Amino acid sequence: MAVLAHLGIHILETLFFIGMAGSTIVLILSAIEDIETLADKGDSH
Amino acid sequence: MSSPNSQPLLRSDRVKIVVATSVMLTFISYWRAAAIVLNDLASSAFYACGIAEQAVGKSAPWFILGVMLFSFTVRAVYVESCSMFVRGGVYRVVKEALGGTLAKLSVSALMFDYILTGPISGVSAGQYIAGLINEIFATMDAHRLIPGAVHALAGGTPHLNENFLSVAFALAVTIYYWWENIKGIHESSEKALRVMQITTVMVVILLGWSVITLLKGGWQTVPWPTPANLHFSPEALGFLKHTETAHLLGLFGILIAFGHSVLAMSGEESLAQVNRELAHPKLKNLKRAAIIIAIYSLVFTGFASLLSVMLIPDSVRAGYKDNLIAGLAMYMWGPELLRLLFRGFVVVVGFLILSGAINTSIIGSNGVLNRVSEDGVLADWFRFPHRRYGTSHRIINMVVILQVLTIVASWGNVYALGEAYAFGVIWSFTFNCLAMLVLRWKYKGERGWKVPPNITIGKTELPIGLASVFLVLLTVAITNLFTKSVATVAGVSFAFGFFVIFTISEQVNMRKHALAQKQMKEHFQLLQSDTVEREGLGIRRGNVLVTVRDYNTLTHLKWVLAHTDTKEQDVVVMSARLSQFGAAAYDLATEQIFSDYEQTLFTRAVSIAEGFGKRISLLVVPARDVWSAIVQTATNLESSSVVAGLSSKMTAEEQAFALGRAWEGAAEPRRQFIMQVVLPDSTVRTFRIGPHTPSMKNEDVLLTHRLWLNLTREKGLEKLHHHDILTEALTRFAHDYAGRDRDDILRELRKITGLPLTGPPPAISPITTTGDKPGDSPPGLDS
Repeated sequence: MAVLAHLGIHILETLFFIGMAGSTIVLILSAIEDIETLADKGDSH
Repeated sequence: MSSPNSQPLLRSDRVKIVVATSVMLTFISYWRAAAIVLNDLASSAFYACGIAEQAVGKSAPWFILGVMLFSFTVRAVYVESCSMFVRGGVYRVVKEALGGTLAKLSVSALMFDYILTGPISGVSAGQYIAGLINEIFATMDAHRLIPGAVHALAGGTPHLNENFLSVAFALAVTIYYWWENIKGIHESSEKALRVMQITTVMVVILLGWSVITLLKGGWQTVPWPTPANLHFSPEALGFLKHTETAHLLGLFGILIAFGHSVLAMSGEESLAQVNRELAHPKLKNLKRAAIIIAIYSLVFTGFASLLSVMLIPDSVRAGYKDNLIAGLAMYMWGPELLRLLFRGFVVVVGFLILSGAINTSIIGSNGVLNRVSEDGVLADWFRFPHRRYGTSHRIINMVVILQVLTIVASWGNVYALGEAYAFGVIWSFTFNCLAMLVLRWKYKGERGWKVPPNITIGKTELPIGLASVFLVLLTVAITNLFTKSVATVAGVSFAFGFFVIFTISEQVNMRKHALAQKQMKEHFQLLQSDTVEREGLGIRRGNVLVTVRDYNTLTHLKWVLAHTDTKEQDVVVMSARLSQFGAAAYDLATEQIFSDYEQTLFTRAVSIAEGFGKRISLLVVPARDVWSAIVQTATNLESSSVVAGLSSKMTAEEQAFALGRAWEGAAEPRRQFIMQVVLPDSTVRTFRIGPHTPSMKNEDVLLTHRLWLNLTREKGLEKLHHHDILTEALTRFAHDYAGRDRDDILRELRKITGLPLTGPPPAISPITTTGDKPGDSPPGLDS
């Protein structure tokens, strides 16, 4: 049971940090897009 | 213009109903959209860090900052979901991606999120108010300002029980908004914008003053978010606290701490709800709103959390766990009175934003359950309109009863409420992200934007970004299941309860709806149209638009049919299908717009028309605001008059005023028309909507004439006209109104109308109390 729990925790840790690495890329790429969106003053309301 | 997209005609004698599929909305700017979302999202700043610090220790602000940065990516998922052109409610869209069972669970989690928003906001606001009152008592006592008798009576410094007061406050505000929602209040983006403007003033003062305090008085360090610096409370480990795992927390501790901070981004889901109302260009404005929301919440929630731990001494911070920003105000650099005043301002802002969140939670829950009911997974019984106000009172009652029970059960414990709330927030985000991920393969329609990066290998596109966000959400959601025992028990019980209700309702509805669908297909032919256009619908200019809502009160339709020759003038019967804020993430599907209620309503309308032997056209339009929908429809159909029955909650004048307001707010080109309100005794009140020549009282006509007689005797004014006198009089009036005589003018006008004026009145004018036929105005009054 303890082995299974440890395995589960390691799987969760691994997936979380993979996800975090990918999310950082999402954050950077969307931030670049955000700057472009803010710089584009056309059609503002 | 778009013409109706006809479906195959099964029987030629079926009644045609045009169902407009685009919602008649008054569009809002991205600033207003951002304000609406921030009213929900920024309210988390008042309690998120206090809860997180109790769970994980002094490093909590770093995790809150991390969550706020991560919320940028969750925002991206919502932008992608909004950029997809899909119809149907939350249930239908998730069902398409994940199947019926997961869709029901997803809606249950969303409901848990919405319902918990009310209690946590109300209790938190109550804690801020109680904390301020106690602080004032303590300050007064320190300066010996409390009378001895009061001191003796209280057995020391007077002190209120914060938990009792916060529960009482939360109950009072919840019950207040329950009644407002039963009556059907109209939510305005203006109010949200004002609240956010006041909040921004507070945030600017808070951050500016904090910087001065840091420079003047120094600060405490906030430990870095490393496993060694995490100090979990026993409650924060949930089911793991008695296991060996609790002693083995390494990197897993980071994951647990992140899970305890995730409620800082609660409210992000509201972004989807405002999407449909954004002005053109929709996607660009959605992105702009999303940027404002993300930056604002990062600065407010993230930095306020960090500053709280830096500036409030460790020895006293626990005393401010439920009102951390108020505590921050008290530990600024400066005189005590100024700090106390600022704390009062923080409490006022907290009251405004958190009370608004209670209302948003009732509206949101009502909206989601209405949509779920339209999707056939909640019995129609819940959606039955209130006899007087027409609102879905049974759903509102159910939501508020659940909220009241939650408030009482929590007994003012913000931490327990926050833990439970986080369950709904994280699972709601996870299901939404999973649905978006699956729809990358299943949905082949229009999609305006995708979460980056996406890598294409051969013909397969791999959604790396979306999958990454999903992995974080899923792992946090699973971890929370084990570490938030109260939330897991409460959330799973709640979700299971709703799941059972949805499943049973779906089975019952499936049989009932199959029969209703068959009857509907026999009697009605639904014609789908993107927008309402006169030529496309085959309706002549100058038609009469009759608004209907309650099938028990169709007297005004009978009056119209009795007074109209339908060979000369078309009669269009219109029903607005209202969807409130909180239910507007996706457009409705045609069969959702024309539900069983509309079927009953139009069946009655058709039978009345058949009784008169006259033909009517039937129209259903989805709308957020009924008055705007009427104005837009009347304009598009070039109607000469709009006829309505008397509202159960407004006078005829108030109805005309509301329609006039909507007319003023409508986009150009606008058309003037007549509004007629048919009273239950069949007398008619008629109003002109839009600018028009005013009806003049006889004595005013005589006065003008007398002035004209006198003035034409003056040298050089022999050729003066009556209208020249009016022009001069009005020009002088406008000059005086813009100048120093404004107050006098308003006082005089108030004497005449007998009412205080609130804002600019719309261009309406009552012109008669009877009418021979729709659109008729009495002779002699047309100026």
